[in-house]
Amino acid sequence: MKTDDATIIAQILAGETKEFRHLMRRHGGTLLAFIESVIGSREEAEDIVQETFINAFRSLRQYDDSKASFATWLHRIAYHEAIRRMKRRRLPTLSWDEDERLLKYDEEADTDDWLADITEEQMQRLDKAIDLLPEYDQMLLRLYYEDDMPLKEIAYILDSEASILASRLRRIRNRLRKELQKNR
Amino acid sequence: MKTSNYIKPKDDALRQLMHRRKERRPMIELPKEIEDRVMERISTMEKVSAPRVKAVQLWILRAMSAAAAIACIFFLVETMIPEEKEEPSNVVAKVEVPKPVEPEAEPEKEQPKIAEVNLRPTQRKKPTPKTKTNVVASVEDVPLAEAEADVCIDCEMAAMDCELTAMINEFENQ
Repeated sequence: MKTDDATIIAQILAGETKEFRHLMRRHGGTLLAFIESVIGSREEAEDIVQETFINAFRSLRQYDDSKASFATWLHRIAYHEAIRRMKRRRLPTLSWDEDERLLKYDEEADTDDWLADITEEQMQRLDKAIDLLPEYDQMLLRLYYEDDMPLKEIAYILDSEASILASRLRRIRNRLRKELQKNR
Repeated sequence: MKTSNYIKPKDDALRQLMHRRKERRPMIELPKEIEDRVMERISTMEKVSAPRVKAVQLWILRAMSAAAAIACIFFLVETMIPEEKEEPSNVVAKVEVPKPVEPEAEPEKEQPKIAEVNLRPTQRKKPTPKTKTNVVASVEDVPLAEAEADVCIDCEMAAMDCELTAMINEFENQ
């Protein structure tokens, strides 16, 4: 039987620290993929995930399951660790401000209609267009569409607000539509 | 909810595409060596923290036992001291009780008698024997039976006094 995170956490807190391996096996892969998408390097991502799990173990008593799921909590720790490292190495951190001007004019239009009847050929073009998106946007699409994470939880991970992220997602879709029209 | 209004259901195509991308991507698993490294560091952390915890527990135990000992001593002192304090007060009371029978009082009574020895029989004041009326008057409030008993003792005392003075006088004359 698959034990849920809360039970494993309770066991770890009771002194059965070996159970922490189960949590790593359960969430390690997703976390690694997420961090790799943030930082762009597998090696660095592995290092960050390792540090994330150690930090999570240290502050396991502070974890509040009413705020977010354990996976979300881990994502948040990992994301902040990644940002901290990027800042320390003076690497450009993920930002969406650079293309703010580009997206502004599409703000008013209800642009999601084009996604309603999309062809397979358009899907392939869209796929390529996603690869051209900034890393931060790709990460947002992954968290929201791939991992089916609620906006509230994504906001918790990225230290943002759900409404801001929703607005951002709408802009990403507008940009994708533009790319699709360009390649027509 | 406010946030749900921002996202249109029409973006299902995008969701579908993203899921396809996810399936296409090789499944990433956390390398076992990272798991091992994390577990190793966790066990090291525990080894380091365990003696600390034990030391803290020991310190707390010692502090608690010391506090308990102090409390016991304090309690004993608190309960014993009042008893000790009461004892001297009892002694004082006991000492004070026999005061009326002071041995010093007798010499005071005797001194005038010795002085009287040097006096001429004519100069001497004859002790006024306590009469029954005098005594009764002095002990008006005392019940009658007690008063009568006192009268008898006083009379005897007065008689003895008289005899003694007479004997002294005879001795002087000789």
